[in-house]
Amino acid sequence: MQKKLLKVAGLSIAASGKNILTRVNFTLPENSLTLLLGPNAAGKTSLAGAIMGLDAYTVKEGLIDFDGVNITKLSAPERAKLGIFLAWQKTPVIDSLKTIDFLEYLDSNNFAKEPFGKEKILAKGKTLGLGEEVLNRPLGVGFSGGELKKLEFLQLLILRPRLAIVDELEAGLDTRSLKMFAKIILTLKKNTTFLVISHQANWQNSLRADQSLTLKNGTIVKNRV
Amino acid sequence: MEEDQQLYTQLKKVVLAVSAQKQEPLWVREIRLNALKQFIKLALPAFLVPLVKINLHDLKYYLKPDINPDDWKKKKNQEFFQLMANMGIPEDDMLRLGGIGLQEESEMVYDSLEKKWQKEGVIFTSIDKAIQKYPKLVQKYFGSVIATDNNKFSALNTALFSGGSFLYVPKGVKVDKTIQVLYRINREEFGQFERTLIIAEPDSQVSYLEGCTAPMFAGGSLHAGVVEVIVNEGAKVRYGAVQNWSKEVYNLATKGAKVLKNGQIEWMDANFGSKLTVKYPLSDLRGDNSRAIYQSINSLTKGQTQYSGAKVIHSGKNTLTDISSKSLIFDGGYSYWQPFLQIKNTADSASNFSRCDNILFGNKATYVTEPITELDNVTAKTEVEGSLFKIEEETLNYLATRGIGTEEAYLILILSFYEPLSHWLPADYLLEIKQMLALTLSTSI
Repeated sequence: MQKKLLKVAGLSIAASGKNILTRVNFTLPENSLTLLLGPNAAGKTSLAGAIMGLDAYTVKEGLIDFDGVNITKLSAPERAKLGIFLAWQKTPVIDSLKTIDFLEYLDSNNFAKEPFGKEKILAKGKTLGLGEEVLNRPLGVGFSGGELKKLEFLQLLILRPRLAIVDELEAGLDTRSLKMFAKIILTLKKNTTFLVISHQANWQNSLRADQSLTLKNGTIVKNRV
Repeated sequence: MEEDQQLYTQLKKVVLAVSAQKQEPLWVREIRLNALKQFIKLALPAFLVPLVKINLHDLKYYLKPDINPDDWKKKKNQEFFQLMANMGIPEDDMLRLGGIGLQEESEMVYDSLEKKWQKEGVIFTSIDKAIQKYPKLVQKYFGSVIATDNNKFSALNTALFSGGSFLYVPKGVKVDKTIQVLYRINREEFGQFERTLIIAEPDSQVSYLEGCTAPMFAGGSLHAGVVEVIVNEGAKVRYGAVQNWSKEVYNLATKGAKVLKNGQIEWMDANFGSKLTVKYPLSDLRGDNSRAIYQSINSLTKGQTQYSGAKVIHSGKNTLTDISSKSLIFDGGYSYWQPFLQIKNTADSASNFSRCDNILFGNKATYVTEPITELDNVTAKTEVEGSLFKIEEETLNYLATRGIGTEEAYLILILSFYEPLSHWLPADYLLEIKQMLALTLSTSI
């Protein structure tokens, strides 16, 4: 049987005092791709945030196990260092930080991997459609919706995580870019486990998911392998 | 009154002793004695009264350094590099510099200038030696930018000055390496009164960097320097200052530049230490098309107060000033920022842009900005901007998901906040600033 990289068991989550997820159970086999589906406000982004370990989400009960380690009490930076990555649905603007400087910082402080160096980062950016001019801007400033998504993805390429949670990558991206991302994801799947939050059927199809989970009212209603 | 008389008598003895020891010409002694009278007469500005707690009777006004200057000269190169490295100037940096000076206590104990620049006619030495060797030059310019009675401490400096740099750049010579001087205070309750005079002849160029980086304990000590820069037609001077005195030192600087036609002065500084810093570099833009650029980065923690900004007199046509300051203010830190502009009726099309950005930490960090413009010419333009820069929760969350913890995130964000105004700093100073900030952040957030 394939090794499970992530196990979520009986997980209940609250945010701002409100219960958001109730006793969620699922596992992610290593180097597989799982779609996380469900209507708006079903709790998909909250589940992503809870796996990442964002402070806003309080674990009420249950546990999250990553590669045999109980990470339920670990902070987001600690989880990131173990190899968990979240591609944000909405990248914040950080106007004091130059994008390329930030990317170089991530690259040179990558906990597990050899750094690529600036040239390679720029080359990867270019492949994704982020030119040097864009990367020289402050982080997120003047980026189109699609460029923000590409920026998230570029960070994924730089950090090479073991688990990548991708929150609605399709928003703001054209069909061509989506095809490109699907292709890249399928290649990366050799070494990375994906949990992809998605709304769009076409994009879902092109990802050839190994399983899909459907969240509704804060709990998993459908688990299709 | 009686107390004043007592202080005058006490200081007069010191002035005469210093002057005699330096075997100065009479005119210097006269300047000193006149300045001493001004010092006694001048009142401390009201805002300084509660802040300056120096016992003027007990202060040591002149101290010979422990190091004998002659010993420095005899040091072999390698040994000298090692000594400088111990003081924060690594060998790589020394090779990058065009000249180096070191002041310990009241005397400049070392000065050197690359041969190349000596041959071009550049002079770099201590002010004391310059008085002996180039009296005419010194006499012509000494006190020509900062009047003795500019303020109480400039008067005190003029009476008791000892050490400081003299830099002369002949016409058309462009010194493309920085000349750096390090100032150190190793004693308590001591007054360091260095006096610096920089003369840039027409179309010359030079960059001078003053570092006060020895974080030694020096309780109740006073650093009251006076810097005068003469920027002749078409010349460009950059005056950089990195100040990291221990947090017990009073740093009251009086700096000024007179800028002639097409000339440019740049005032760059980084202020991290001292208990109290007062610094409003003067730019007297009397030449048409002359410019002044101010770039300042600051950090103020508990018990640190800073009054800073700029004083600019626009009297030439088309004169331009660009003033920027960025400060971090932690709980218990206080920053007052004021660009004070006088735009004279002769200053057609003068323009000014001033900007101050602050990051506050905690509820007891204070900043006040109070720009003043006296506008006497309708064709002039001035603009002031300010911002309170906030580090958003969402930003910290975002960085957290990239493996960057809160302290590290703050450090990254602060260094990038400073970045537009810190480009001029040598790498070793940047590193030192980074280490200092990391330490402050670890106890503040």
